[in-house]
Amino acid sequence: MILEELLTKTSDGQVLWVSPQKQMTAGALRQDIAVCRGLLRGKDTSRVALEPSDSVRALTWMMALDGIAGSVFLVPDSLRRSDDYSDLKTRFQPTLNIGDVFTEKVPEKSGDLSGGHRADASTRWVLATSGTTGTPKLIEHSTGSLTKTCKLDTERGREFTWGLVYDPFRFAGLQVVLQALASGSELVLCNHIGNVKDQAAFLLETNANALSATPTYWRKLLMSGVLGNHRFKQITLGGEPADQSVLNALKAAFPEARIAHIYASTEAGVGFSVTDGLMGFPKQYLERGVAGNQLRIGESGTLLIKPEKHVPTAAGASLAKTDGFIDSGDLVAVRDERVLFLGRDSGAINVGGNKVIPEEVEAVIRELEGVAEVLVKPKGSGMMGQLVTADIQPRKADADTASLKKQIMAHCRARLEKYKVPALIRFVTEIEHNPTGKISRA
Amino acid sequence: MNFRKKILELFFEALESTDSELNCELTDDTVLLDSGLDSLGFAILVARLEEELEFDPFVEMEDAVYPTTFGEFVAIYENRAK
Repeated sequence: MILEELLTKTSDGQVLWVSPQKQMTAGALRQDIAVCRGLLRGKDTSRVALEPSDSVRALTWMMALDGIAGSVFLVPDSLRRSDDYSDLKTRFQPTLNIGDVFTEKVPEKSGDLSGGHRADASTRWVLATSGTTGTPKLIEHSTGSLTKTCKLDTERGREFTWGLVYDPFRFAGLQVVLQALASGSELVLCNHIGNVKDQAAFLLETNANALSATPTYWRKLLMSGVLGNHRFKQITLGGEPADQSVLNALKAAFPEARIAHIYASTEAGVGFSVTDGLMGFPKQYLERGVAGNQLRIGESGTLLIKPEKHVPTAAGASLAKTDGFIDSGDLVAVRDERVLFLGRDSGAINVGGNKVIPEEVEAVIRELEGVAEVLVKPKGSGMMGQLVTADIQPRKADADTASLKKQIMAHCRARLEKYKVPALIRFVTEIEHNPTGKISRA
Repeated sequence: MNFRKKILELFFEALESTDSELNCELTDDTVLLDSGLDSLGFAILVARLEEELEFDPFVEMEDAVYPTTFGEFVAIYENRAK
């Protein structure tokens, strides 16, 4: 299957995508796809970096490339503007760039790479994911693996207008885009609107009644006070564990909505959703599996997943162990018949859906003269899921901690993205090291 | 315990620690998200309050309500202490 086939059940006049700047009907999309395909003729499409800043344009190209291109690197806006991008792009080795201008550069065609239409293999979609060390890594998916959980009921799908607050080229965003497309639902693109209040206003204006967002984003929406009388049919939470408070608050604010929180692991492909209104997931899933996936808890307390099919690959190699289980890296515990998420085994911190690697923050703080040792760890937050905290061991026992704290904060703010800057700083007399000399994170 | 006074003190501390500035006069009707403190700053405020008061009402809430205005925010702390 290619993505364009998802349009077969939609009539030309049906609106598919709405952004503050433009509307795209199914008919116009079909035409634009044909125009894009024309432009691709004769080009080496074996490896395409797709990087337009306009989301509607980017998605149109994505659909045009399916079935033609070999591998397509779907470049999110934030990644394109980050320092990591040039590195990742070098690693990906594109033969063709599609940005705001059609081609920034068309490299010499190498003899053995075939261009033009490829009937032999399906297009591979390459997504960047924040790696375990903080350096993004590239994960490949097929159209089949990305659409395997999409519901195809266009009869019911037309009742929904999905809001999009994620970047469409991040895993979570792509899921929303493809779900809307597969079920013939309208998609309202809010991802380029700067703040939550304006996004909420646009959701109201366009009558969006389905939205997938992080629990942190949902709390912000609730706090905005804008959606008081709005009626949602579908509320989806993902990207970080949902706590009971936010689930209860959403139920109270939008009693008619079906509320689902998603557990997804990029490494294992799509995960599963929980709709019983309780945090975590039922313990029975460990015995009987869920959505075709088998689950179990590994020896180190992390959730292991054996996907039904479509195991994505990192740089061509399978992530699965010999028994087919993939380590999600998510620490879990069983309490009262529920499996609850405790955090990442790597110590990685999830601040409202943004991943923070403790070692990166520690290295920055350690640059300061007055700091002897530092330990960065997560602290649970009822607002953002987790926050970054730093325990500091000053070099001098009689250090002026107030001024050292100011210095650390200023240094972190200058060097790190906002969500990585420690929210809380504590001074301790000693930071423990384990027998191998590493900081003890336990 | 004067919760309002403590909250105000830590509110300004959170503004400072996130490099933010108050956009308007802070009254009970001020919408929190319009105050200049962003959601990260707001989470920091709640975490700092937890350090000082030893409770986080947003973790404990059974009937969770997320405050829209500053007045509602203060009321959540005052009611929790009753």
